Amino acid sequence: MASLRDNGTQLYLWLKNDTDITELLDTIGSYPAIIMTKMVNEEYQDLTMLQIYRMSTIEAVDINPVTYTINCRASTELKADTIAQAVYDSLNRKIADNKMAKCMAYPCIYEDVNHYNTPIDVVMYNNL
Amino acid sequence: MPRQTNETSNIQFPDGFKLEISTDGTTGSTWEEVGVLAGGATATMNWTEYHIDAGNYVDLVDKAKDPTISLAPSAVWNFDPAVIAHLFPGFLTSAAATTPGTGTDVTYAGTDNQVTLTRSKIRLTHYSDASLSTEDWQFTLDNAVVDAGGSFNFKGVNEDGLDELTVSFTGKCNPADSYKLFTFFKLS
Repeated sequence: MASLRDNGTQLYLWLKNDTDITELLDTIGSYPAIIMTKMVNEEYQDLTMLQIYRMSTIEAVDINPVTYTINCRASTELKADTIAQAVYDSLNRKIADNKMAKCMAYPCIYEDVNHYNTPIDVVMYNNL
Repeated sequence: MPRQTNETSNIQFPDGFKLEISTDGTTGSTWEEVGVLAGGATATMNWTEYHIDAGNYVDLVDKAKDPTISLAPSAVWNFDPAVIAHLFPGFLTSAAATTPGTGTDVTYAGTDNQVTLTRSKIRLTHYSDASLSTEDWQFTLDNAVVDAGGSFNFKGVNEDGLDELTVSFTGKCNPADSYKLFTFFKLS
């Protein structure tokens, strides 16, 4: 059986290698601020970043469309939407590495003072 | 209520199977693996019933003739040109192509408005181990011909699911092989 994190890892690699996206993000050390956990450490919470987690089940089927949410977090609504647009443009209908991605962009959410989040849902059509 | 039967040891669980079609006609020595299906497959048995009035014998004798088995796999999710061509034995063929790019063309095999269909064997195999070495059941259809058409379903981005290919077969008794029609094997 494939690893439960295979699709998420692929998603991370596609995002990490797209400079149109990474140039909009802060960095953590030498890496773009792309965090793949449900909880973000307090020290990173003010960063302009992508936060990714899986939202749907992985099942006993041969082809399993799996939904991930990419939260595009920034200090203003415009910045969050700009990152979300870059993510959408990069991933929507992307077919590579035997996988396909389709995107759904949600309206920007105000979460706290100087904390905005525009979520993008990505359905990953995986190979076996 | 208690269970009404104790005959529970031969249940078959819905776990799919490997679908293969022979590439050497009805010999069945070489096989092409068809790949992932959308679901399962249905094999339907059919025959014509007739009756003989046997003279002095007290009852009519019930007989069956012209037995067939139709095998309808669910949609095929494999667009390997070789597999597509092998799924329509005699009707389709594949060959290397250079236009519009370097690849493979799948085309109608005939050079006329009629073509000879090739009979094949088709088998469904379920394995009980991860290395696919222990067959615990297998269904082999003999002398099958693709006689009910097929379809390509190319989907749009606004649709769910994958592009699909459908095909179905009918097997008839094979006179060259003791009129064998099908075999269902189950491991003890």
